[in-house]
Amino acid sequence: MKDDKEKNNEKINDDEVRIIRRDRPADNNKTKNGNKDKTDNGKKKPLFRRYWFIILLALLVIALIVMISITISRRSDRHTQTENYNVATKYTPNPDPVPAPIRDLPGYAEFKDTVVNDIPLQIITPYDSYPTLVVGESTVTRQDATIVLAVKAAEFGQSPQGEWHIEGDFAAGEFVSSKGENKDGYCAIVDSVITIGVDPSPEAFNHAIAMAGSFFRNTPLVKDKELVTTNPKGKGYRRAICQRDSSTFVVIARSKESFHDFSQALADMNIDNAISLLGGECVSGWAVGKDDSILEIGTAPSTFPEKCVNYIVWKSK
Amino acid sequence: MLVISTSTELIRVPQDRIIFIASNGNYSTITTGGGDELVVTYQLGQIETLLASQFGDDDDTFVRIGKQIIVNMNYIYYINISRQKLVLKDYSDRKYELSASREALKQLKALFEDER
Repeated sequence: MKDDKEKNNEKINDDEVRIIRRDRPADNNKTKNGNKDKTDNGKKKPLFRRYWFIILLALLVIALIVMISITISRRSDRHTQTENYNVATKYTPNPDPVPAPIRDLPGYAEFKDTVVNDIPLQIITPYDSYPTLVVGESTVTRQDATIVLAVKAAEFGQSPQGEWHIEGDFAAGEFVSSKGENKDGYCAIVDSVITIGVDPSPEAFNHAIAMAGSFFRNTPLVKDKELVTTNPKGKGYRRAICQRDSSTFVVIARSKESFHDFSQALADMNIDNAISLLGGECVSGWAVGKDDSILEIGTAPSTFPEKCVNYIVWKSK
Repeated sequence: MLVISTSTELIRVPQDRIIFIASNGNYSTITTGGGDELVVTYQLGQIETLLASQFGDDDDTFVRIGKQIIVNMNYIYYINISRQKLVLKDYSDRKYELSASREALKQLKALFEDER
């Protein structure tokens, strides 16, 4: 018999279901068994499956009682609820207890909502600011009044040995690495000038390092106004850093989209070049408007490793 | 209690709080009662292994449906095979609409029918 890890890491197709259990093999053909008390392999059904309705009813009643008591206790002691999520929200910038900084700087970000091909998009354009690339959640705080726009940049992955790393060529200050999958898209920052391109060769990376600039790679979306079609499937909350004419901005999809649909929308916006930024529902940054309003990018708490979290940050001039 | 541990953090999520877990590439998003979401740096297969190792042998609470989702069977509320629709409902009557392949939903429906 295969061990747990092996069994659970077995391939599963989209047209299959598998009950998650410790020892017993996947059991998805039980309907063929006429005996309601036994499974296909003749074993007696567990108690749960014979009396599931009664157990479920009992659970519902217990849950109802628990919910009522939770509701009552919440009213009297909201503080306890917050403590339960301390671990999960460790890296979330939202609950920063210190008041927002007083900003008296020219830099700001402009937020625009638009819809392209039925995809709701938000365009965030930084003004009077310069871009940098930084590593570490603690280096990007809400108390830094110079930050106009901060958004997570490169993806990260895990080696077979369990070590976390930033995916692909990466350079930010003295931090230089080149591990994992090298995506074709790149973003280079040299002398505060951003270049977005699609090129798997190390030329741009080496140039950025030679010029003491910054560099990261991610999935290419648009190259020379044409969508890139070789991207993975699946839907998610997509984000991109884009260039059109001489302007650089960030585009966020407000609904879950495939890379193809998102890329097509960007190409239809006449964008010259675009690459993906770290996507998903997790907290991924924020932008500060001209009136000091804050736009949150992503809301779900995350547990990303500190040494891998990286942001592209626009700071006020 | 599902316990997820990284080198620097530890998260505990009560089993009955987990409504479903969705794959997001290298990460997984755990949706708990009330619609709260938690992104963890585990692939869905790794979460499946954790669930299998941390819960009892006779615990049929969680089911993996295709490559994308693991759902808590206690919250399955509605299955529509032709529309490829799976709706979960938590104790506060909040609904979560998911989609899966027809064949997977057919098997899921059969699981419940068999237990009737």
